Amino acid sequence: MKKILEIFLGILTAMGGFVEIGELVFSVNAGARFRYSLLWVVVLGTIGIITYGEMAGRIAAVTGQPVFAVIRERAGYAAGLGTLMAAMVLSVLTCAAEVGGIALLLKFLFGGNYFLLIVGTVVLFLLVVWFLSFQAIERVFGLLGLMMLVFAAAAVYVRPDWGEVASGLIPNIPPLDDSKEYLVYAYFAVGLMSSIMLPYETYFYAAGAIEDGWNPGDIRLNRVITIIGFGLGAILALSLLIIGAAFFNPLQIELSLPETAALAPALHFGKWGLILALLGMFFAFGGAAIENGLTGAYNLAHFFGWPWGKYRPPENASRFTLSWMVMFIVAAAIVMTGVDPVQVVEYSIIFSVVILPLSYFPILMAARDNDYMYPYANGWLADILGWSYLIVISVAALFAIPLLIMTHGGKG
Amino acid sequence: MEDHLDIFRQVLDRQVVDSNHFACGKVDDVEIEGGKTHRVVALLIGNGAASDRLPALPRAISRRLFGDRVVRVPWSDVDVITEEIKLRRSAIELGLDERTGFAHRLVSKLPRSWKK
Amino acid sequence: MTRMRDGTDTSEVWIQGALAAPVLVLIVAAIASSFFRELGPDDVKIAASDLRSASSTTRQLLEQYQRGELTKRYYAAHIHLLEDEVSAQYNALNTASVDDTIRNEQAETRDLAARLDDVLKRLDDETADLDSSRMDALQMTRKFATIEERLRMKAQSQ
Repeated sequence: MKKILEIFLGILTAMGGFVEIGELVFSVNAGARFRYSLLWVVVLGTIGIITYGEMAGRIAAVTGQPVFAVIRERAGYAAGLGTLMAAMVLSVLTCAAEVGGIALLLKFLFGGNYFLLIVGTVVLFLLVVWFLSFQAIERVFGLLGLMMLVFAAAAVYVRPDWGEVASGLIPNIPPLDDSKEYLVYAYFAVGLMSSIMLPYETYFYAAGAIEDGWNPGDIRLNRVITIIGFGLGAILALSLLIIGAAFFNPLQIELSLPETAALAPALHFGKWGLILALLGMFFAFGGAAIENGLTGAYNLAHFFGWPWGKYRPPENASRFTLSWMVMFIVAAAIVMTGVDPVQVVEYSIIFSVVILPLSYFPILMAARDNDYMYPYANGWLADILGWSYLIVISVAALFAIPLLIMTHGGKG
Repeated sequence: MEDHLDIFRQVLDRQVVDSNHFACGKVDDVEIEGGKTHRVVALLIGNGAASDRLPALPRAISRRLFGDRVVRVPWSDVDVITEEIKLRRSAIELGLDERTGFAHRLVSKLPRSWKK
Repeated sequence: MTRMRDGTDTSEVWIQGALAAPVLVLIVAAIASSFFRELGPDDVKIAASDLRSASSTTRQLLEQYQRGELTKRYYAAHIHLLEDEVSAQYNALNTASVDDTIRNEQAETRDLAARLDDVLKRLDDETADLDSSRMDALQMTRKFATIEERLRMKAQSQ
């Protein structure tokens, strides 16, 4: 009975934590720009994060080793350190973007000065992470993030052409007027896939597995949570894209603010739909901010071998504790410069795909190592998917930055 | 302990824990004795050892920022090797305890979290 | 007794530094120059398309607000942020230098941006006429879209 509850909560938490500010904007705009034709990328990305999330979780359950310990062991100190620094920069930028997004949301909900709201948000997160246990944080933000399901409801009410939705789920390249638009399409494909497969998700998921005390007996739990949790989470991403296609595309609106997306639930459900959407975003972005702040600390501790974990009293993991505090403070400082959070996260997402192969390759090598993982090494399916996605993301990594430059950040 | 020890795969870059299972850093380098069969003589832990594995410019920057301290742990102090390398003595004795540092002093001063 | 790796060589540090420095300078220069260069047809097209989104959002906001689907705070905050965005676009279009071939489009876009900015500023006032503002926003959306299309054709023919 307790196990069933654990599975249920794990799935809901994974689902509620699926969307963050970058993914929201990319998904809606993919629909606004190209209607239903990028739906297949969401499916592709979801299978990818399930594949590598499952491997990272399994490695953690069997060996007790988190991702950056694996990266250091497999890639060595120098290459590992390079990957670590890149991952740290991306995590702090993503954290900054989420904090900025939350400050804006609070402005939309309650009003107030943006800069004071940033400070308030970061102080709130520092207190939440200090006082609450890992499980409590996960549950609160994951479950309340499920308010985002109002977008799934809106996606149905907006009456999309389900025939077109179906054809969008199959890999396709739509006929476009302008040859330049194909580059923008490619950019959105890369960005959308990357926003679903963000590296911090595997780092955090594996760290969480160790925080939750997983052992080899939890391998099935790991599989169920990744497949069903991330799978259901993809429904949110698909809903956002459908809303982009059915609601924003006819209006010729592309989002520059995530809050604009709330117009769709407001249309069908009035003020309550609006408020539910904004609150859902608050917990989704908040969860992502906390995950990225903690991931920075996890990565450092895992790479350098410091004592770590929210399950420890803070003074027994003092470097780890100081690290996540510094992450939040630096993130706040970045957003206080007035930089646009949406732009920051879009750049982070594109740069994330460049380091993705560096993170994923060691994970794949460790997961299929029979000496290391016996008897839980990769089966044939995990192997095929693992290799296939490594190729896919390596190709994406190659083209990501050229596409960013050529399409002026996806605008044209 | 086994006859053969794969230094790269089982020792280098592995987590080190003390006799109380407290984390003490990673194996940043190893000291080996030459001859026909290489023997591990000591583990080296600290930025002084780790930074040596970087190219010259990053090494210089790393040493400038984080120092060049190295703690030498004789092989005789190693207890068991599993996924981690467990030592016979405590971190304090070996000079590897982070609870002597700046971070610990700062974090200890903060109001206790009551949820523990 | 030997270690796996050996000590430091100062000359290597300088060599690597000498190689890394120009690369860094180039990257910084490339980023900096993107702020100062002349606007091309792509840039003005992107500005027109951003403004088209902004005016369409304005119209949609007004429509949904009048139907009671939005809270006053949401509506006010959104209008305010749109006004910030539009005036920033106006300033960018007003101060940058452009290629001769697109000077007309730049001027048109800039002038329309100024009009949209006015509409948004007026909406800050409680007593503003929401209906006529909505019609204005709708018209401007169409005009921005037309400019966008013209610039797209120009860029294609180049």
